[in-house]
Amino acid sequence: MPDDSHYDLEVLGTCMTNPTKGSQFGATVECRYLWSFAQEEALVALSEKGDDGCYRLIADPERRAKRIAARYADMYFQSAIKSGGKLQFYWVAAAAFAVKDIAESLRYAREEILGITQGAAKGLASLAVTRGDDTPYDHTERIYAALAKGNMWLFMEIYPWLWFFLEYGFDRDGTLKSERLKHCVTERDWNTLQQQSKKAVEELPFGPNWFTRLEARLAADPVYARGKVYANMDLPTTTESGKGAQMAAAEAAHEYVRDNVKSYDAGYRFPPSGYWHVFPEAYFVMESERKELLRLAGDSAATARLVKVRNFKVTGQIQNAYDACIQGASSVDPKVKKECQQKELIAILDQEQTNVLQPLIYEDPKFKVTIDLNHQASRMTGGWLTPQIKVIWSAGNEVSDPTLETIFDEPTGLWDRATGASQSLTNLHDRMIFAGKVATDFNRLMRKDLEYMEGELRKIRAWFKA
Amino acid sequence: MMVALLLMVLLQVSCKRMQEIKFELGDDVVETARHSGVPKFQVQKVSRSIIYSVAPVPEGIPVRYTRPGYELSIAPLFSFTLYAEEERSRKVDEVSIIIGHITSHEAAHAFAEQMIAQFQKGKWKRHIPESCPAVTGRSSLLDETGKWTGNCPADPDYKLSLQEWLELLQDQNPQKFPKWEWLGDGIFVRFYMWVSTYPEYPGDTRPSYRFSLDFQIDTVRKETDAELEAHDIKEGEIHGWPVAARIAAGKIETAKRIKLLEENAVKRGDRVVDR
Repeated sequence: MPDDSHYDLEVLGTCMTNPTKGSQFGATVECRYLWSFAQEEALVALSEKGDDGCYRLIADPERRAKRIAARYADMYFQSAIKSGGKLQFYWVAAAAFAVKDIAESLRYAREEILGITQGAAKGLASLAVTRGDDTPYDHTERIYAALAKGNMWLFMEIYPWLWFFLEYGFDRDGTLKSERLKHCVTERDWNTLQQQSKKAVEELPFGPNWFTRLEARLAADPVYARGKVYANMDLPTTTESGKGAQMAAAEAAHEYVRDNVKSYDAGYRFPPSGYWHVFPEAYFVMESERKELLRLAGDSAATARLVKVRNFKVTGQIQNAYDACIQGASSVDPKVKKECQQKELIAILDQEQTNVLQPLIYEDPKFKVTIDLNHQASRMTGGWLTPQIKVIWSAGNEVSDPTLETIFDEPTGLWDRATGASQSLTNLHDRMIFAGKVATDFNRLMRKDLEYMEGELRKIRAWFKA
Repeated sequence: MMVALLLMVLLQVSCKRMQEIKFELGDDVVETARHSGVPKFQVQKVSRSIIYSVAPVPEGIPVRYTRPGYELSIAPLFSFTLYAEEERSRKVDEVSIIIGHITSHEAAHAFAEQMIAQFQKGKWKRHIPESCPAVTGRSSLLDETGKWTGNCPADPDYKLSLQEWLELLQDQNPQKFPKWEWLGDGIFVRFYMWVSTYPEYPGDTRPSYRFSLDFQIDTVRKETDAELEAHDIKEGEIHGWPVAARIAAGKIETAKRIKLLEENAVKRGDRVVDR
């Protein structure tokens, strides 16, 4: 039986074992089956094997983010090893740093906002983080869910493209199988995956099936129902406003939620229930969680966009990336190889931002409001109030040591800082030009400080089993 | 109230300071930053590198490269970054400039033309890498089969028509994105771009161009290339990959390819020039 920290879904089927020693069979394996293996690799990367032999998706988005960062970092090194030094993927190295920062953003949202009272959060953010009906917890739940969704689905989309290239693109002697790659790249399709892989993908968080289950769970949530009873208790008041009684009732609700949230999780809580015992206003967090998840569940346009991404069909950008990698691996000229790395980086960056993240998270108008407010607050306070949108080029998350960051829309002076944000992360044009700056800094460091960068990637790789 | 007013005045003064950005390579990074006209840089240090950057650059601010005979004026800007190394006496060895939003093929074509024209007007000399054919005209943008390729820097004397520009860039294939390179007074410059189009982006299907200009001290660039090659060879030795042999074979393969490309260029009516 699954415990409360995992989703109850099986991602691997069972296979017959051939008991005959030394027997050999010739078989032509169709691309679609190879794509099933590639997809399965992505699923297993974010799963753990239970006592019953079944893999289950890790429910904690922070652990998933760490594992994703580690997988990307590992792929940077593995690509050189598997190709016998003929190829080294490049985008994965930049992505490992970026995803490491997502893991940190998730932690920050959970510990630094949900982990303090809403009053304190409002006090800190009275200028920028509250607007309309949304509370700081509402905004935080929105960011938490969007990061969890974008990060996991990007990995499900991109990782198999690259894993496939390495696994099936080279023979044992290191010979590049370019025709196989060119043929198979067009054959990836969720609809033709082996049944169990297909089903596992279909059941992943934020997909239509998951939302159906989520809605049913939220409707029957006994912890929320009981917490609400506590929050609405009519306690005797000693003040004219009745505030003291309200606070006492709310405190009772928070305590009840903290004590009982684990009893109703099964992998559907955001953040996972194991973190809630330190939330001072756990009932309010639960209200915000509920509000955001129901909003997402009701956003049929967003779900339709995800279903389209989930088809995993080849795009021009992926074909361009494959062309670049094939050219790089075929050439013996080191300068041509470096050029090809640049082309691969650009093509996959484009795929990531345009074809995956844009439809998955950035087209959500509510998320746009939240992320713009967050950016405005962080920009005005130099990141003191809320973290800046940035990539930190180290395995660590803090900037107490001098280290390099590439910061989105950094103010150019006091006036610029005071007058507010000039760019929006949800605007594709703004984001793509920022991606250009990220790529430029990354290139410089990979050229001039390769030893340092590879050392940091090795540290990130240590999260492989986070 | 007085304090608020004073603060507003101070803030506006600080805003007014930036009129343009000026830069040179080879001088101390702190001095270069101080004289650049940028009121506030984001300064970072990572491992060996020191980085001074500003992004985004406020609208309407151009950047000027000031070396006499090689002057350039570049706008609109998105970012401006100075790179130096502790081990190289903190001298600026690289400057990276990213151009601001250009969101039509026509505007991008016009921007590239005017940028190239500035180089051609100054004392800059076209740079042809050893791995590329020294050919003129359209041939500098064609591969062995006569198809468009961005593998080698284009001949800056060759003016791409808008039609050709679209052929190279409309399908956003990085394999075809053109680039140009120059050398001038020991400074290497690469001018390159990438473009994305968003056929399904709601309400905005414009292409998004990201032009970049990278300036590097040529000797430092060559040293870095040599260091990277040594790193690759060392990795090869550790893992048992024949990297050194591949590099040697690559030189022979490249020489053959260059010969073929130069012959093709001559047949096409283009010329082979000195490097």
